[in-house]
Amino acid sequence: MMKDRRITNTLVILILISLVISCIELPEESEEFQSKLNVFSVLIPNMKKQFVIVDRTFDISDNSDERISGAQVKIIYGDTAVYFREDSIGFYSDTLNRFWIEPNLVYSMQVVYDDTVRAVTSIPDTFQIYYPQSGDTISLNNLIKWTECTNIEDREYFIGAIPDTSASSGLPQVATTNTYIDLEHWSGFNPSGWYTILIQVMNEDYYDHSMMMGNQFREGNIQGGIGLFGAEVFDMVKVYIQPAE
Amino acid sequence: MKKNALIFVLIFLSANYSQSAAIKGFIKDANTGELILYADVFLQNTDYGTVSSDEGYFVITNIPIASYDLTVSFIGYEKYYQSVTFEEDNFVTVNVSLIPKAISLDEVTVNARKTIFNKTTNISSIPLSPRDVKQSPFFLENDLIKVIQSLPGVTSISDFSSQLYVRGGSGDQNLIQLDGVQIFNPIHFGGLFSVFDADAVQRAKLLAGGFPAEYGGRLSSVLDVYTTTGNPNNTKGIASLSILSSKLIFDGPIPFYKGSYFISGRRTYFDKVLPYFDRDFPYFFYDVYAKVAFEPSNETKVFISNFINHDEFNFNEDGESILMSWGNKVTSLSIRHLISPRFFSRTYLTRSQFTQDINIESEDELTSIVNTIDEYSLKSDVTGFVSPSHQIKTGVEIRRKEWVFDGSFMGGGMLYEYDGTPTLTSLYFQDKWMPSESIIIQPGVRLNYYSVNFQEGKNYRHSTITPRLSAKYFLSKTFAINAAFGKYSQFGTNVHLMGDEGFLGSTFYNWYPIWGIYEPSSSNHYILGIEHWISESINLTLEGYYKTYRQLYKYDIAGFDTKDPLNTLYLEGEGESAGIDFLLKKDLGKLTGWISYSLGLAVVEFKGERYYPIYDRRQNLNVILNFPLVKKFNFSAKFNYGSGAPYNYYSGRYRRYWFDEVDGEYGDWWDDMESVRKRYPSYNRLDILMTRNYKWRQLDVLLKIGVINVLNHKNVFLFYRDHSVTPPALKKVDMLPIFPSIELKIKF
Repeated sequence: MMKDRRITNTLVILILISLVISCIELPEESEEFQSKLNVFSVLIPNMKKQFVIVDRTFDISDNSDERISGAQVKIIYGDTAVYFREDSIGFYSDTLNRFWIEPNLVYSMQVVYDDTVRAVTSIPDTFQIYYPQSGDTISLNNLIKWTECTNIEDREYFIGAIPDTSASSGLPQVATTNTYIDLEHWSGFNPSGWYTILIQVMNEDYYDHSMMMGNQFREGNIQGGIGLFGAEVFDMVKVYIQPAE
Repeated sequence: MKKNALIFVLIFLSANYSQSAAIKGFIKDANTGELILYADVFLQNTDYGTVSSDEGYFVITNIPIASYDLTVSFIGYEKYYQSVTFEEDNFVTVNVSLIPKAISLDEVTVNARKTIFNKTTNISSIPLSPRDVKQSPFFLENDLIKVIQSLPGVTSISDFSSQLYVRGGSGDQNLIQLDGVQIFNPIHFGGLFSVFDADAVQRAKLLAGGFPAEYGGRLSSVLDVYTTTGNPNNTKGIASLSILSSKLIFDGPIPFYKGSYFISGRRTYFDKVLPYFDRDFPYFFYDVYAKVAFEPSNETKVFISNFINHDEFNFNEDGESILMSWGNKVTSLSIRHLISPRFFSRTYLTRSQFTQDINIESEDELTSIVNTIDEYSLKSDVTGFVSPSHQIKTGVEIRRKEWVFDGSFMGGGMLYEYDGTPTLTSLYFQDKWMPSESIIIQPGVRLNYYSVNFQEGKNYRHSTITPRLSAKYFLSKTFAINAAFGKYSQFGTNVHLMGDEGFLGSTFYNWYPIWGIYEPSSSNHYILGIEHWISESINLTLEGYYKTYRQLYKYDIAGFDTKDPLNTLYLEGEGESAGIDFLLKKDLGKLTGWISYSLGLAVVEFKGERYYPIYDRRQNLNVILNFPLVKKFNFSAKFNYGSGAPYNYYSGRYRRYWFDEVDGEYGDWWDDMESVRKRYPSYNRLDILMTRNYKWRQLDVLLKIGVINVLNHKNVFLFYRDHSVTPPALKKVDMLPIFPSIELKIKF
């Protein structure tokens, strides 16, 4: 009798538990892989020629790695559409071949190949490094200064220093929201020699894309596909950095 | 009116005391002086009895005036008998020292766990003895966490993980305490070992769910570990050498005072030895435990303990440098005081520090992460044995942290510099009520008040009320039904900067408080089960659980704005888990050990995506057996089977592009696309261990020889894609292969 009660109670408990487990909503089953267009384009006001790369995603077992040839690519501003021609497989450049990307304007892009993908991006304001000038000699006591880029909100300026020769030490990129930077940031790396100082500002789309850490996959701002349609402005000067005494 | 009521209560209470007597005292080991918990204490031929508490203290009240034979018994000790005569208004004090003896199969002995079964709700609670830990096969050294990972409801995601994933909860949802102090990251490098040295552990208890109101601040489980206090009678030492480390232990009486000390130090030595063979090994760790216990009076015992662990990995080659160090420093002062025969207090004043420092330098990039936590806490509770059917406990806990996180990525391109002062104040009350011999009910409630000052003077506050209820109904003296419900809160989380917990996520610890727009995390536990003593030494438990989680947080890699951490740091999600845990354990006899089986399911949802987390190991089976082989040889075996854990299967790949402003050129590299959740192949591993005792020149020598993964099963650690070929080839990294372990221990 007692044994029957124990067995009954145990079975009741097991049934209750099973009912609870069965009520949990399970994740959906995986779908088959579907290839999408992978488009990359960064509009730059200082550049005569603009580029759009049209690529795709590949199934892991796909032997091919070829980009997309024969896509229709255009960028639209206002009432004007500029069609891009294919320079090489997957690489498309604009037909105007002049400085037609204006700061503070909004541009949209459309790529058609089997599917159609679209994106919109806005161009940051331009700025200029006014100290030092190209050819100057500077030391670690100096500041690098530039004019303000007015429409970037709180996003940073990224400053890189690329050595001309492999004999000089590479310097890590730094970021600031100021319009100047102290070269003391790099004192620990003992820079010496000719360097190209590059300062860049990304628009919000490019900034979000760049802040992606590690191998985290991010679809980006391409509607119907993946990739990036962004914009940046940059300026650079080539200077000689004196070694620290 | 109020004054009259108070007078009435005092008269009522004193009237009760004047009509009967009571007996109280502490129970200790006669050799070591260690307190004995859950010893059976009863007056022969009566219904008056109890068990000693968590502090080794017992009290029996309302005893009719007469003479009795007091009996105290506990597994492994000689029974204690004493005649006691009670007189009116009498509170007799009897402090008992039990004499150890070898356990005999022929004798009827009282199993401590059976006593716990009779006197507490003990739902989802599994105590571990030093024997459970030391007899278990091991990789390089005995480890408490590795043994805990073989208990029901506990999942391990790999051989390289010492994280505890309990009943579908993540690794940062467990409260891990050492001598009453929270340990933030108890893991050595690679997760192969924990900081808990098996020789320093006196007792440990895992509360896998439904834990009572005296514990709080975490969502999933509690691991409560206490270190030994040392032998107050004799000075002893142990020297130990294994493939991994060398260790020295001393314990003994404090000179000129009533008390004892314990000190233990362990250090790995590969980094010192291998250079003599022209090999480099850039990693080492050490642990140091020190504890002093003394008794200023019969009613008061004071413990001062200190624990330090340090890990360091230092690699330099070809212009690349990786320096990683982390460690805990824990100091605890605890005072146990018998306020009156019925009221007992414990007070802890503690400091727990955790520091993690990572610096990775390559040609032009520097990555640096510094995370420090400095927590001061004051904890005090009072246990009241107010009547034979009520044992109440009430307490307060205040924890104040100084928290700093400094991160620099992309050579300083991304900077995280945050600090704050989170403070958690908790009040709790619980009652263990036995309305009859067949029911135990333990209601409780914990009130939490949390505040955090963020660096710019912003202050955020939250309060939560977390009720608890557990109950046990005895169908017979050996069969009971258990049930529990509990609500839990958590006010911080471990942020995995690469996204989900991965194979390195279990080693590094980046703790962030809850702040800004984020609410405290919460979970509800619902537990129902049975417990059956098949015999005096064999116990069976079967428990089902269902847990819900709200306000789970993980690092929002894509959306995080370093300038606005208060609103963009976390993705908020929720989760559920459910399952059945089975445990069959045998504590006595030649053959001891346990079989545990878990069938469980865990699901989380972030940003509308519902998926199985990496610790959703659907089935888990552990079999641990210990038995004497031939004279002086002991044999142990451990077998673990686990169904495959989920991982991200990259069914697609794509090129990621970048633009070089200086050269005006485009570059690209291949990367995997996150696609579906698949499961690794199932895991299984068989470990064996042989131990042999020797006598060598008056010294006791213990030799342990073991082999892990005897069958050399290729358990998959991870899959990855080799993008140097087209299409990318799927490759794998395996976990630990067959490997020997040896340890020599000399006692002097």
